[in-house]
Amino acid sequence: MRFVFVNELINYSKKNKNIYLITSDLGYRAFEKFAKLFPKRFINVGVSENNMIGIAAGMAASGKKIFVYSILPFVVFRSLEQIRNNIVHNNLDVNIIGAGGGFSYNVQGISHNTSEDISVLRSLPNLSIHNPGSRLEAEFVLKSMFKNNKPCFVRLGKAPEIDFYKKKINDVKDLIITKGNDLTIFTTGNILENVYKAVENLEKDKGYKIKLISLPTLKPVKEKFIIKSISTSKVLSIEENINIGGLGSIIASSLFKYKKNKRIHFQSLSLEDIIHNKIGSQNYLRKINKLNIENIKKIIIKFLREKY
Amino acid sequence: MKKKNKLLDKINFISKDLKKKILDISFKKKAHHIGSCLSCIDLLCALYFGFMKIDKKRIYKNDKFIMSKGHAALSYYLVLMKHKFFSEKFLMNEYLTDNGKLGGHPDMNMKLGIDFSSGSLGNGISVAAGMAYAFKEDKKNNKVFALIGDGECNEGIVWETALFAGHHKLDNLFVIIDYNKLQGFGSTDKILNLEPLKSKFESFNWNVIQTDGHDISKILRSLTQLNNKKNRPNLLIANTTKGKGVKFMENKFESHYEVLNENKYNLSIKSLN
Repeated sequence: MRFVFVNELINYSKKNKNIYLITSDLGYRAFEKFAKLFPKRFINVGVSENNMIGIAAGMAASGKKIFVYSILPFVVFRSLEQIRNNIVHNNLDVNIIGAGGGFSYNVQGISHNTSEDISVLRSLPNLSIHNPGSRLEAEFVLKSMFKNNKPCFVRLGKAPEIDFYKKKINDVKDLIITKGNDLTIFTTGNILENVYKAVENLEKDKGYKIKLISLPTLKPVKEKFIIKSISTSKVLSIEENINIGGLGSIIASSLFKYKKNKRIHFQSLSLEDIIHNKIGSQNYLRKINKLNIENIKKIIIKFLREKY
Repeated sequence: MKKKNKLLDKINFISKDLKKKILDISFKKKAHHIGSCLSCIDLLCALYFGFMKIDKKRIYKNDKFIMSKGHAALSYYLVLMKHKFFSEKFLMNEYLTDNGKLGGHPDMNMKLGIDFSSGSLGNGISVAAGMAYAFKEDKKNNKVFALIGDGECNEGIVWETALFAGHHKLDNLFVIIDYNKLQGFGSTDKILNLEPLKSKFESFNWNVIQTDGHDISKILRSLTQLNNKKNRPNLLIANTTKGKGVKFMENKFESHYEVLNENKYNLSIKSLN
């Protein structure tokens, strides 16, 4: 999805001369076009994420709109304090692009893959959090980032081959991908691909009608939209993030807040609270964490067969 | 020459006045970090009353300053107060009080003259470099100043920024090290030796001058000399004395932590006079 990001950034940068792209020496074969078009507005600070956020903060405090880019855990975890103190607390227009997320970096290991980023960042007040699952979703969240002048984070994984939307997303309502009365599924990020395929297969093979809703924005949360979208008594959330503080927590607390009198059965499929240091392809890592298509199907079938 | 001497007299007068206020207010507010405030008040006075472009009415045209050693916030608040960003009454009401605007470490507030937040060491120099970069991009002649501590130079980000500022030739960036040679547990040379500090920064492509950080005339002369050299970021290594002016605090790292009781307060005022 980083090509979606770069292309959109180029489009916006033509209109807005205040936009700067700062990288800590990553983005080779992605940012060349931007750098050529706007050589003064492309800054490679070198391999120094802490300083990158400091420079970004100083420039944003001087009226610039900043996009910083690195491999996700490097910019988020190494620079968490700089993000918190310099950017979030001072409400600066710095947009953090974290490349990868979840098992996107596959065999590169736990230094590059993340299971905790969304949970950790969600606890920072005043930081918007986006986790697009397709090219059109990426365009949608980027639009809001270009419009806003507030701190933002986006987990930018690889784009799936196909898109799941028939047209451009203009409103949260467009995020309801399939309709159905058997089960409501919420998902986020590029695991959407597996969830979508599982839902599609189950409809074809078993005739299940599932309502699938993708949430590319996890903060601020549109709780009312979430609650309004639930039209079944069974609700499932699926995410490539740890089971603490992610999408599952968002759905659970929304349900608790607004629907505590109604009988809703809720399950969450997410990464366990363990050290995810197994080596393998993204498919393999998803499989051992129960996030492959077959297992998602199994969990849905089991949930649908449960009687309450 | 006469005009210059008059300016020096004025700054020395302000500095002396503010040193007493540091003791008064710290005593009343039971504040820590008295030694740190006394260490850098001469530097702050030289900057704010003799070198920086500051106009309370046109804050967006001002030079910028980051108090990176945020624990010496009181001395920073005092120079801002002298610049009439707020009154002494406001300072007394807001400093270290519940729901006050002036905490133990400064929070960004343009109206109060605070250009950026600090408190976690090492970050100020990096943000200052970002501001300096932005001024260059906007083709403005403003300067950015950051006052950092010597213990603070243990932080890795200081050296990341030292590389960055040298590489980008940020000659509008002025970093001042309050080199009192004391940090958390004792002397810097025993905890984590910074020497040779001057040649370290020079090797990072900075202009460096080392001078007496309590001699206003020398501080101003050094800043002017640095300003005359172009194409490199500027570092003033200011040799200072922690607790300057109060004999029993001078060169004592304990003055970082100690809160004044009435007896100590009276002694300190006597010592200052």
